[in-house]
Amino acid sequence: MKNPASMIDKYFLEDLFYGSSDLVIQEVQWTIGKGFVCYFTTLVDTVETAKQIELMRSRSEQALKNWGTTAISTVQTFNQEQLIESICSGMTLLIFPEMNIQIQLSTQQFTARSPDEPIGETTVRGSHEGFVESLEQNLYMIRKRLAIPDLVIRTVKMGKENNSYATYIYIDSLADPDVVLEAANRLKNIPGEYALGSGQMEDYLEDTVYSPFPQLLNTERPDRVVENLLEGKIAFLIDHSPTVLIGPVTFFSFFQSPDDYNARPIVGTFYRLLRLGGLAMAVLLPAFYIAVVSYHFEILPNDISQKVKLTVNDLPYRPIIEALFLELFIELIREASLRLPTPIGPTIGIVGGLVIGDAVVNAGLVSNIMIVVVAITAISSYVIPSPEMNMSIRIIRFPFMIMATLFGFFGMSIMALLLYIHLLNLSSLKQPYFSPLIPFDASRLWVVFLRLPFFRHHPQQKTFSFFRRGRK
Amino acid sequence: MMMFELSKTQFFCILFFIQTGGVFISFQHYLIQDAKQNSWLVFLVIALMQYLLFLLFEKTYHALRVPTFIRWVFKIYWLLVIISGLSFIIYLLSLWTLPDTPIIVTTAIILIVSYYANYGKVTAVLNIWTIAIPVVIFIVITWLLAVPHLDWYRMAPQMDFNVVKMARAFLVATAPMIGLEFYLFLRPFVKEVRSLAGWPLFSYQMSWTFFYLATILVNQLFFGIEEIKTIPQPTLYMMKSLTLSFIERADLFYMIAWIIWSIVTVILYIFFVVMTWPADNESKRRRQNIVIHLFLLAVIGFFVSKERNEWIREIVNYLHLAIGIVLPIILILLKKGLNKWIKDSSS
Repeated sequence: MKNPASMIDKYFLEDLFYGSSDLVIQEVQWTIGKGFVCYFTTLVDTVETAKQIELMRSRSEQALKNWGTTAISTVQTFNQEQLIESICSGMTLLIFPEMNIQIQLSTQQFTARSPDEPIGETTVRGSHEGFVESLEQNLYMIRKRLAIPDLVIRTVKMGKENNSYATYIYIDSLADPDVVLEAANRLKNIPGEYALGSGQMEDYLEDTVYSPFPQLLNTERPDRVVENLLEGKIAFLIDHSPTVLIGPVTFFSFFQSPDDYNARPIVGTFYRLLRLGGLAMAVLLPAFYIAVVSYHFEILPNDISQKVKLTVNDLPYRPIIEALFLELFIELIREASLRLPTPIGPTIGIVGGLVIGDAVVNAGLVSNIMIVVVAITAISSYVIPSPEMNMSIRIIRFPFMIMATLFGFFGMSIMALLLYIHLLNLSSLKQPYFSPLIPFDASRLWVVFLRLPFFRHHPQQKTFSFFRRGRK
Repeated sequence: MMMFELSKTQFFCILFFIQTGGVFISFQHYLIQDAKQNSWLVFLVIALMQYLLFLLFEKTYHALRVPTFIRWVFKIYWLLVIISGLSFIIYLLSLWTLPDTPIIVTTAIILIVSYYANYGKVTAVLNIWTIAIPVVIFIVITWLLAVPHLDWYRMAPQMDFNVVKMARAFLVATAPMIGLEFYLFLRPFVKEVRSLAGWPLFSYQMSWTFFYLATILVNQLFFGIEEIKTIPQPTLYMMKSLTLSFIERADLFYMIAWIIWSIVTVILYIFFVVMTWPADNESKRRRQNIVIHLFLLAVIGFFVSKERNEWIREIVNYLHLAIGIVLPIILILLKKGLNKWIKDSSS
């Protein structure tokens, strides 16, 4: 319900903002009549506001044409909804009820931390800059790297009653127009009531929320965002969050690190292959051990087989229990070290890994070999550069372990097929997630495994014809 | 019929996995038993025959029109191929790795994978064969491990042979051709409008020939003719008898690799059975998918024994000559004849 502007007074404005203690309402007398200055002190640069108001007053006294319009101010017809939204966003409003106008001053005060390197995405060589909690500063970090006119920045209001905005960025000449349209539609259809975090926004933007695999890449590194924009992808930013979402991505994007491109091609290729090997180990190694010990002892050469039998025979329970016990123990150590303050975190790792690890072996609860297997698995999973993919990989090894217990190698191969089919069915912003395997493109397959010399960009494959013409 | 597009590479790769997944570890025993040292020569003749058939198919695939009744004939034939292949996989599994697991459980597990694949996107099924690429590499490497143990003198052809046995050998050697009719069914979906008769078809045919030739030669040169008569799955036994320093039973890995490959083939076959089923909407197609999988679950168990499996495989081998080769040729000739007759009568 809109109030007539003439009814506005100090009490009315106070009621609109529930008498908040940081709300400032000042009555001013100008030649054009009585007015009110209204803002939140916590969001506004008060010195700059005072300067701007004084400038405007002198312009109005001189009866200049468009006296209220400057580089940082606009004159609007009085609108109560707009007034609430602007003040909540950190603007200053100058309201003249008798003239039925409001002047909006963009004098917000931004405080942001310095753009330090993100803790989870450190690199050896290259830029050490990271995003911060200010949208403007984050956009600046991208723009300064991409001084091109077709870098498009668009802002979408999320929900109807909500006062939060999301921004998406793309390079017009490189991004697929269908994907840009899809991204814009998804952002517009977010029915949120309050400001969202990047994780919640991800739920709305992903094609299959219940999949264990992330379908958007999270990063806090501007150089990584720029690299992806140059491949025709779209970056999603949200105010107050240093995390940027990137889509459409492929499964293999999560195994690439900015270090690959900063290092020499051969070195970059070696580490990329190492990470893919780490993926296979992290998923399959515990299941392989369980399958061998439970079902296929005969595959081991005799001398190794004897040693394994000796250690396993003394254990009071089946290998799956032993493996689950240790795997969950490793997860506990990880979770505990994350939640503890930095000086204590590593101590937990040492206590958990060395002291308790040694004690459980001596107590005969687990075998030495299982400790080695679980340790290699844990290390392998941590070489994956994306924390989201890393967590997904750690979770999917459990069904592999269960299938290996039930059916040995056959169970593992069935699980591998199911996982592969799931990955083939996934999409990121309706683009094939498992590209270049689907749609199969042998010429692009090399890019997955090799870090080729950076002579030209490799844009994301455009929309796959099957998705348009065939069954969805 | 469902609409989709295939690239040249996808088309030939799908064809390769359809033609290989079913029989590549099973037919050598029978072929070498009948053709003896001439087995590889017999196979080369069959390979040439297949190449000529493909050339004919490439020239005439536009003319192929399959009436509804004939479509059903193909569907029933493909279901028989699936039953023979799947029952063989489960028979070998129960023999080599899972002797205590009930057959119905093993069958259900494989069919769940197939159902999940066919329930999803068309693109997922049409690219499922990509999982078998590392499997192909692994299998070729395992053959290379056997190379130092091969006796090459066993390759020399034999001039005296029994005509009846040789005729039977030719019949057995056509087993790897099973699935060649898919060339006609899939070719219209290929984006490439130009003829594939040149290098693309030749390279496909060479890959197929070398693959099967290697499977025959490796077995023949490793075991010898007399020995192979007592070994029903020579490739698996060869892997078992290889002594490697890092692994004792290479046959188990080989078998798992072959199972993945064969499941991919089964998934593709079931997809094409459903695809050619007349269905006007997605829910009907999903229902048909469920019906086919339940039907297979019910019947597979019956064929999981040595005798019954051999019986159905023999039937499939004969049917494949009639339905896979002769029937498409008749359909093409009929259509050509009809066109000519219409042209003559109108002029």
